[in-house]
Amino acid sequence: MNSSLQDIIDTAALTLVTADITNLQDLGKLYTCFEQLRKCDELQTHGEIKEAIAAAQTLIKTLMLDESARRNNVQEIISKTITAIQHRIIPGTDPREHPFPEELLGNQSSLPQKDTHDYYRLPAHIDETIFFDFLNNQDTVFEKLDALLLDIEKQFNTEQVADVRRIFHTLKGEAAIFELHDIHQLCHKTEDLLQSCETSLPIDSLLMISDWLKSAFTCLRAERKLLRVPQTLQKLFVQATIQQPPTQKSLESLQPESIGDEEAFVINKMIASSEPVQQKTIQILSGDMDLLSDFISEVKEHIESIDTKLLTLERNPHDTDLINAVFRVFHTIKGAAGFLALEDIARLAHITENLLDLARKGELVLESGKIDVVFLAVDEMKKLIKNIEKAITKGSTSYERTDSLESVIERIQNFAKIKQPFTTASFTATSHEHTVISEAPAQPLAKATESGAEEDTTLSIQKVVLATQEGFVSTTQGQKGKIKEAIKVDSDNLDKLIDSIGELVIIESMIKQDSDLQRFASSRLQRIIAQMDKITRELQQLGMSLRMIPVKGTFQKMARVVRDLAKKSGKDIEFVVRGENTMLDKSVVDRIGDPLIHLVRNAVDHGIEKNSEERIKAGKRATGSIELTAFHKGGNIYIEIKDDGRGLNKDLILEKAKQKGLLREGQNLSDREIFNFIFLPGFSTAQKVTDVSGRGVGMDVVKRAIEDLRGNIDIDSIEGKGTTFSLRLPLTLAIIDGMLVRIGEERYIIPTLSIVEAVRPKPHEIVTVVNRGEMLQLRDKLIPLFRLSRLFRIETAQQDPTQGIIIVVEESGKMAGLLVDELLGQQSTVIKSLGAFMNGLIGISGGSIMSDGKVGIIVDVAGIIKLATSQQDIYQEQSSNI
Amino acid sequence: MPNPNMKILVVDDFSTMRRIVRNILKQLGFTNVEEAEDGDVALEKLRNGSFEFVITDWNMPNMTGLDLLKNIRADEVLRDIPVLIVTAEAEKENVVQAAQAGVNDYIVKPFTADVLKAKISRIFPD
Repeated sequence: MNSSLQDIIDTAALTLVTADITNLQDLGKLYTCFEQLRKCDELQTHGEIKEAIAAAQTLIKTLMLDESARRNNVQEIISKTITAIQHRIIPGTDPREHPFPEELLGNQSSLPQKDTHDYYRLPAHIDETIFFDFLNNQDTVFEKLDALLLDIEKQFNTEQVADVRRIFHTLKGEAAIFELHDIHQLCHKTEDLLQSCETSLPIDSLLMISDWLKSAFTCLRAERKLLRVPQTLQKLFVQATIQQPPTQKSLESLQPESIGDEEAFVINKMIASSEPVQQKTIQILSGDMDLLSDFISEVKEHIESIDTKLLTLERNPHDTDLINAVFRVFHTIKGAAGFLALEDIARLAHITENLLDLARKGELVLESGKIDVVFLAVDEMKKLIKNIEKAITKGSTSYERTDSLESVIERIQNFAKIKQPFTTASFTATSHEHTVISEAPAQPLAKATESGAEEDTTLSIQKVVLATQEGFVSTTQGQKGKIKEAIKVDSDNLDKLIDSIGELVIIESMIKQDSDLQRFASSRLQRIIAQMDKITRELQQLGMSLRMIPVKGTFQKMARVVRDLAKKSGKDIEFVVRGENTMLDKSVVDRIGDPLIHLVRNAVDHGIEKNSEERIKAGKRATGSIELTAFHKGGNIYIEIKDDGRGLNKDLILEKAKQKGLLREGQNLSDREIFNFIFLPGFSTAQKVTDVSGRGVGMDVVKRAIEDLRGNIDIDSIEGKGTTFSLRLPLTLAIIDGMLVRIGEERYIIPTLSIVEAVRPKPHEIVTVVNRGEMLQLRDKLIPLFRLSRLFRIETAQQDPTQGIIIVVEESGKMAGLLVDELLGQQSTVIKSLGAFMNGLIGISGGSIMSDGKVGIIVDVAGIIKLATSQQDIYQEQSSNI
Repeated sequence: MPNPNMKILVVDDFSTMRRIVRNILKQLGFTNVEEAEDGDVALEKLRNGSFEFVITDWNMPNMTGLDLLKNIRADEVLRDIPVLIVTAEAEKENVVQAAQAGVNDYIVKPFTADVLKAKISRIFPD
């Protein structure tokens, strides 16, 4: 006999003697002993021994996994097993004297088993306190029900019947959530019954049902025991249904014994599809709203990262690292949602996890087309999250379910051919069936996890390589390595902080510019003030940076838009993202999404050629390309959407502009000015232009949205080569850099962003052009001159341009010269709204508190340029009348 | 129950989950809790601090809970720290591996404070 084998057996025996079979560590050791035995070469030929070892391992496993398993005799059974093995390998002993314990082999029923037959098991995703709340509520519900029934018996009243129906309906829904299938079905049937009763109710039967439900709930509360619907009640039901035309199905589904998992599922589905509206609102929480909103924001981040991963996965459907990463996100969401009693989210995550699990195991390839189902789940998850978020913001404790949830879940289920619904313990299944259901998928899952885990370490490296290959720049994984501490802060508080910093900046500059101080301050005081100035500036920058978030999230959405649209239109398009980590004020990022989607959609729809033949004919790559780039430049953020498609057709735009009367004869326009026509409202509606040159629908909306953000948009396009839209955006909306100017006694602020230069003109540079009024000859350009003093009616202002300063401003490719008296200096100003009643004034975009505490008006350059150029004539007429 | 000042490390890649576990621990009176978002960070923290108990999730990127457990058990200094592993119902089978690797106990999520209390009392008998 081999000594090592003997050693293992000795160890096993010793382990067993000292083992506490309620202790997981000890059970683990014991399990390992048997595993070593199982691997022993000498035992490979002993079928009987191997069987016994396997049975012993199963027994130990049961003890590990099921804490309610009976543990008496277990030590003895295992001990006997070890002895029996020993006697079968020592020569000269009679195995018959030491048989394997009967409990271990053969008679399976004597093995420790859960005695949970008729006991209710709370679904894994439901919190106990919620369940108890539900149980405790039932008392009042049944009181009300009984009272209603008695009233109806006295006098039939349709309103009260409706109340009764509602009670059963609600209970049915709740029972489904808690997986109380018997109660669910009974309520469902009762509801059907009530629906068909038009003039009278079978009150006796209903009272009996009510009584049974009461006792069922009492049992549940006291001992967690499940009551079966008794025969008498079922008979009663049959009688009741005889009065109504009975249907085969309704009778069948009334008998719980006859309903298997699948049928129950069918019924569930029926209910889900027939009554989505009534089930719309459900309770979400009794718990911690803070935690919930943190959960929601975390899930949002994760879900956004999934989109990118899925897009990459679509190109590499066999990338197990990616599948694992996506799987893990759903898995994690499911786990946390379970704690927070977010049943819908848990279910959706669960079912998607199942699907991804199949992909992990290689049983399903998530290639193009099939991955759509995962996208579907992601979208549904987003919707749910949004609804819950809405509810939280409103302070409500319930949220709207999505109408599509059930159908989405069903689709995913059908797709993955996942038969069992999201229940681990099904009411009608006996405990044997239950074991089969829950264990069958678990085995391969464990294996998959193991292999998945090993591959995880290489994940980030592979992703980066992949990203460059595919043109996707994804840093989600790459950043994981860095560990940064972060604190989540209420954004309202953050805004208040930034507001306060803004005020501080103003006060600081008031001190700095105080005339008394400048006169009397000692050099020491001036040094201190200079120091304070520096610190305030730093504080201001820091405050601003707090609101900065990367544009990544928005860009990832675009990737999704391109993918979906490209697919729909059958175009082959490569989407490249650059600079997605560029930081931008959160309020800007939030508002840039819609215009960006619009532009990206246009690029796919109209920019890229209809098919690759057309592209090849034009000498381009078959695959179209759309690039989305973000970068910093000179205190602004630039976002560019560039396609290599057909480009804009200048002639067509010009023709259209002429038709619309937007062009004067002989007017010479730059390319930029021509392209800018497409931003005019209504310009794009012309079928001809939209069809041929493409751009259009709602471009005016895009432009307005960008201008609302105090940014601007530019087009650059070469016909046949492609189009680039560049968006210039301010870093933040709260503060602008402005040039303080004086006009008469008044001071105005002109955003530095729009200023090109400031000049004092010589007399010959001011010219009057017929039809266009006063112009400034700036080098080889003619720029309309605009007198702010006239718009703002400042009579003391300098009227002679050669004695004042002309500030040349530019907005969307158009320029104008603003005549002011004097430049006072440059300063950062915190923008304050002038209030609703001052909204929409031409030429004014807001106000600011100046260093002397007075209010300064911020000039709306875009509005003024519009006045100065397009309405030049009107202005001229007005001015000549003055 | 053990000393309420016992230093506990909660390991999970999902911050909401860490907060949930932390809250439950707080309900049970344990306030000396730190968090780690994956196995690597957890090991670093463990090596730098005198932790007396680790609660770790199973399914995490970079290093799984099982690998973390194996690393702890292989470490001269850390090997005796009790480890409780958190697992999902569907992955309960993993527990066998964890038990073999020397986990002290496991807990299936979602769990309540009572369940965690029972687990802790078993891991730290009086």
